Amino acid sequence: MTALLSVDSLGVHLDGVAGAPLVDDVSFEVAEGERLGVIGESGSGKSLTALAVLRLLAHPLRATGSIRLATGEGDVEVIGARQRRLDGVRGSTVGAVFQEPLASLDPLMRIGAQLAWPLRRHRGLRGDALRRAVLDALAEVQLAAPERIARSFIHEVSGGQRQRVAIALALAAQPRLLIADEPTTALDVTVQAGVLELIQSSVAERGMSLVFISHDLPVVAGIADRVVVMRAGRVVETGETRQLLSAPREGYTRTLVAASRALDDLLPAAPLDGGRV
Amino acid sequence: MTAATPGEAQANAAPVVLAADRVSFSYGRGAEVLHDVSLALVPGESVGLVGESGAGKTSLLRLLLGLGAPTSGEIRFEGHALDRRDTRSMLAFRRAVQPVYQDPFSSLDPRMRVGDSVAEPLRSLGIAGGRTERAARVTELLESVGLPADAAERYPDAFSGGQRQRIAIARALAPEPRVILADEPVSALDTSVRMQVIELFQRLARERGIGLLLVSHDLTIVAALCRRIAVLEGGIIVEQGETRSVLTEPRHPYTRRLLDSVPRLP
Repeated sequence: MTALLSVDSLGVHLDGVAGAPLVDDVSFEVAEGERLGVIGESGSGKSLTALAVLRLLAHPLRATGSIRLATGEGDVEVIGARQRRLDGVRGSTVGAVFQEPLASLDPLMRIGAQLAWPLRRHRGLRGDALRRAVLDALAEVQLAAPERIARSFIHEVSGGQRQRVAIALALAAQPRLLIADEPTTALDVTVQAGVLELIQSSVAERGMSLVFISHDLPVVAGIADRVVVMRAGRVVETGETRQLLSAPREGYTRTLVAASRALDDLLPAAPLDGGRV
Repeated sequence: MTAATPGEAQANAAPVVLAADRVSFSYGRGAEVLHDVSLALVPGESVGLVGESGAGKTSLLRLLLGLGAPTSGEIRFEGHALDRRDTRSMLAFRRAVQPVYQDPFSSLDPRMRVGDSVAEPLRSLGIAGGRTERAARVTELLESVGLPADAAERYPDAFSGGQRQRIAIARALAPEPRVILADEPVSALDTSVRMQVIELFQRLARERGIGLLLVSHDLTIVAALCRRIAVLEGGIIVEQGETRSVLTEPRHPYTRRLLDSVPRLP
C-alpha cells in the first residue's frame, strides 16, 4: 500500500507564545483507500492537525515538520508549498467537511451556484452539463428534490441537509482524500446515522481515503479501519480499530474505551429487531 | 412487566412536586409546538425527556420553569396550578424548582466570583441572611459537588467544562430545591467527564431526594440516570414508561428509530 498522506513530526506552534507546541511530534500515514479515525477530547489537537493538513492554519498558528500528499503529479509537501501548487491540491486531492456546515457555505449564494463553482473549475463543465452535474451531485448525497435544494439558500434547508450539501461540495472535485472533522457532532442522532452512512458509502464507492476526526469513540469505531488516539497535542496510540477497542495499550486509551464502554453498556445489547420476545 | 418493587411503589405514592397536565403550547399564533403533554416529577425520581431538535423539549422546559404559560392545560406545582402573577407562590416555586443548563461556559457570569454565583439564588430568593452564613453554605455546596472550598474565590475561566458544570449544579442546589430541571447537562462535556457528572447527579438525587428532569437527545445518558423516560416527537409524547422496559421493548416506531441510530461499539 502506498501512502496518500504522510504526516511526519508535525508540530503546530502559537507564534509569540512560549511553552509547549499545541500539536507536538504527530506522525501518521493514510494509505490509498484507507479509513483512518482520529479520536481525542477537547484540546487534543485533532482539529489543528486537520487544518494543518489542509494548510488552513492562520497566523499566529504555524506548522512545522512534514505533510506529504501524493497527487497525480508527484508528491506535494504541504508545509511550505507555493499557493498555486496548493490550489491544485485542495479540492482535487483533499476535500474537507467540518462540524458546522454554516461556516463552510456561503449564506448569500444559492446552493446550486456554490456547487457549480468547483464543478466548473475542476471538471471544466459548462452549460447544461454543469446544471446536470449540480443536480447529480445533490442527488448523490441523497437529497430529495435536488432542483428545489439547488434553488435554495443555505438558511432555507435543515442542519442535516446543510451537512449533505457540504459533503457534496467536498466531493465535487473528486478528491482522493476526504477529511471529515466532527461532521455529525452538531446533528440529531437519527440525522447523524444517515450522514455517517452517506460518508461511508461515498468513500467506498469512490475508493477514497478518509480521515475521520471525532471525540466520539463509537462513531469513529463504526467508520475507521485504524485509529489514532490524540491527547494534549500528542499521539497516544495508533492501532487497528478492533485491536484498540479490545486491547488498548496505553492508560489513556484504556480510560477512554472504558468510559465509552460503560455508556454503551447502558443500552440493550441485542439488535432491536430481535428485542421482541 | 415486573411487579413494582417496594421502592417503586413508594416513589409512585410520593406526592407530585411538579407536573405538566395536558399541556399544549404555541408561540403566538403559530402551530402547536406541544400537544397534550402530561408529565409528573416526584421527589427522588429521575425522568428523562428525550427528543431531537424541534421536538419541543426546550418549550416544555420553559413552561415547567414558569417562564411561559401553556396555551391550554396547566403546569401544577405541589398540587396547584401555577399562577405566574402570584408573586408569593412564585417565590416558593423558584426555590423549589431549579435549572441546570447545557453550556456551563454561558450559564455562569464570567465576571462574578464562583462563590458569588453559587450564593446568588440565596440572595435573590431571600434565603440565607448573613455574609458568614452564606459563605459557609457556599463552601458546603461546593464540597458537595466535589470542588475545593477555595474555588469560591476564583472566576469561572479558571475551571474546565466539567468543573463549571459542577459549579452550575452547586448553584442550582443552593436554595435546596425539590426538583432540578437539567437541559442537556452533559452534552457539552468530554466522554470521560460526562460519566463523572452523571454520577454526581445520581448521588444528589439519591442523597437529597431531589426529583430530576433530564432533557437530552442522548438515550445513553437517560439510560444511565433515569428510572422513567418520556419520548417526545413533534410536540407529542409518543411513549412514556420505565426506562429499562422502554429501551428493551420500544413500542413506538420513533423510539425504535432513535435507539437504532445510536452509534454502538462493536
